[in-house]
Amino acid sequence: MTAIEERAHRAAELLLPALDTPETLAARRGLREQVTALHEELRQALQASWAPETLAAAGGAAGTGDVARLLDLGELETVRDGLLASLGRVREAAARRAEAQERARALLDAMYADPAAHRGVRLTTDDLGLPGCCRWQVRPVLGVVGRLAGWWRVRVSSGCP
Amino acid sequence: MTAPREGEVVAGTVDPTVRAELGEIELWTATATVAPGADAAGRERLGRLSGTFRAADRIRERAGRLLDPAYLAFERQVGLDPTQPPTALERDAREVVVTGALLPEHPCHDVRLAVLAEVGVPLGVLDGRRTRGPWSLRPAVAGERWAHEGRGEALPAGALVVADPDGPVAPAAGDPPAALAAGRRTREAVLYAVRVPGVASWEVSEAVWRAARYLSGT
Repeated sequence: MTAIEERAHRAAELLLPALDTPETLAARRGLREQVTALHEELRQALQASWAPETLAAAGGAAGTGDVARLLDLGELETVRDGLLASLGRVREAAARRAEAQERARALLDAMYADPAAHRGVRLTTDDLGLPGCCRWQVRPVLGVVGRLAGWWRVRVSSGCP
Repeated sequence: MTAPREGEVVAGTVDPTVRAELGEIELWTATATVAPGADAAGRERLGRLSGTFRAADRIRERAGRLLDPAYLAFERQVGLDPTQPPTALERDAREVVVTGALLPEHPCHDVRLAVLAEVGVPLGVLDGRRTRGPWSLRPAVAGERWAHEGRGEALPAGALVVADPDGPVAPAAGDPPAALAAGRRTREAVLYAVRVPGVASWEVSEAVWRAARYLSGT
């Protein structure tokens, strides 16, 4: 290293920490804004598709620990990336859930259309993505008589206990 | 400077680094003497709240939590996972969806639960015999331990803590160490709450004031 290069290196060593502090603070603020925006997006995604599986998909994001503390730039980046991954997982879980509900609705239509072909099949409001706690079940009319005669129908429960 | 009167809500000092990093953060504190009838009043208050508290709706709106959503964003900023409540009180309180009731334990627990249900502010209560004011919010320095727990595990540098002149007494989000937390036998209580960006300052200071009044029975 030449003398000029050495002086420039020393100057950089002296200057950079002083310059780095405010720049890093601004960078951390920028990242915090991103984290806040992503967190809000995640909250809305969870609210729109509220279920244990979507909530489980949101948990365990990278960059999280047990103690609240001031995070440095690298840690904030990890939190942001972890949030992005969580958001992806929640959206996937929500899409899977929506598909399952769509299939359940089609099954319910089929149960009404042909009860005898769906003997004993049971669906709940949760399966259909509906509020409350009703159940739809294909059961024989008049118990054993209906079972022997092949008389089947969809019975709807009276709701929450 | 005169010492604050009992029940008076006081703003604690916030370290400039914390403000620079996290924005408009405040610490509100108050002291209260637990009134003899606080047990029955707490039970009665929680019973009344259980009848009107729409916990399932709140949990759905707030990503599985009972706190104001601004606190969840704050937890994310300070490296916590908001899907896991940092306090045992909130973890247990979510059971209200199953049990249908906010279950009372003792006055200091009940007052925290009432404030959580009413306004969604995380209130902390310390035993007044174990800590003395003024209190501040600051980052822990390397090697620092909870006050009165000289042999305990060292806090990580930069941990956000509520501290008294002797050292850290509680985390900014989470349960204080058992030796400092208020319990069934606490008679002198220290109430504190951290206000985070997105929550109105008056909302938090009023929550602390209201809790102090609940405890002192005034």
